[in-house]
Amino acid sequence: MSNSPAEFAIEPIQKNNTNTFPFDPTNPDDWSNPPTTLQGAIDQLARRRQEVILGGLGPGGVFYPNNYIGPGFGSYSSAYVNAYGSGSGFYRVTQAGILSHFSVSNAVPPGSNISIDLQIAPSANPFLFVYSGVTITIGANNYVASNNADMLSVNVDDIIALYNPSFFVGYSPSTIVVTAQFLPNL
Amino acid sequence: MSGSIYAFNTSRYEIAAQLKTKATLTSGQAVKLVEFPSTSGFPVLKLDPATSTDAILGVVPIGTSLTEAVPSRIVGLNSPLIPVLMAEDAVAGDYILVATVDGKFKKAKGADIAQAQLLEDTKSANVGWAKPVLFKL
Repeated sequence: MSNSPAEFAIEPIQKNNTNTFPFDPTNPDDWSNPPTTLQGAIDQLARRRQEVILGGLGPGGVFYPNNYIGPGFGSYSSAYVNAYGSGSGFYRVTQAGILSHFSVSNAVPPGSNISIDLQIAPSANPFLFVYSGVTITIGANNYVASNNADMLSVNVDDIIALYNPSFFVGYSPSTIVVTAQFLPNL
Repeated sequence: MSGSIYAFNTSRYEIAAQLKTKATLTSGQAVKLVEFPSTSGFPVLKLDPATSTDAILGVVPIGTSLTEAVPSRIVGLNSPLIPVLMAEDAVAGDYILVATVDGKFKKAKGADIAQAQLLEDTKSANVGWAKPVLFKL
């Protein structure tokens, strides 16, 4: 495997208004910090954020109040985070890092604002799930929503589930997908 | 509980926890911290039922029980509303504090330091909504 510029030409490390497109490794503005060594370049490439899927529901999906969903992509949510036979399951963290740029898309927008809380548990133990402090709110009649303000530090074997904190308001988003961007620690 | 158990969702104020000694606590019973997890141990706080002389860490949430067997959750006192299990009849507005050996609440009396204020009339052995306070009568 060589380290030719073509292999770097995947996407910019950090977009800014002086980026060239496609990625040009000879343009310092295409790097968050222009590397001075090959190792520096490899480190920066390794630290690009990766889009990860935290969970969701499949076609016809229903997100009930006070329920959980996860990457099981079932057709309905679960009242219990570790319930058998419904749309829960967990996102497992396999490498320490930071989750950010939380995003939701749903095929059928809600009629009123819907909040989705990220709950996190250490040691892959669903009995330890607690609110992570991160909430994504889907506005009424919106197909997408973002939370670009919060960042969540995660460790190996943390697990994440998505929770509807309302006791009364559920909705039928059909297919809903919750993603985040993961930046691994070096 | 005269108000709905669904009046408020405490999930955003809950902490993973487990009892240290064998017991079963139900919604509204208060707990105290007895042991932090070690850095290499299982990452869950170890608690015991609070008594009248303890500073309470939180209470057991609605629909939850707390045992020594498996981790569960408590509601921290940073929650705007907490469920409290009363050991005597009280009414909305009464200041209350833990007064039994198993973390149940009674009305505070003169010179007591109240730990919560009831927000609804609550009979003995029932759970009611209260707001955390730290208030010397």
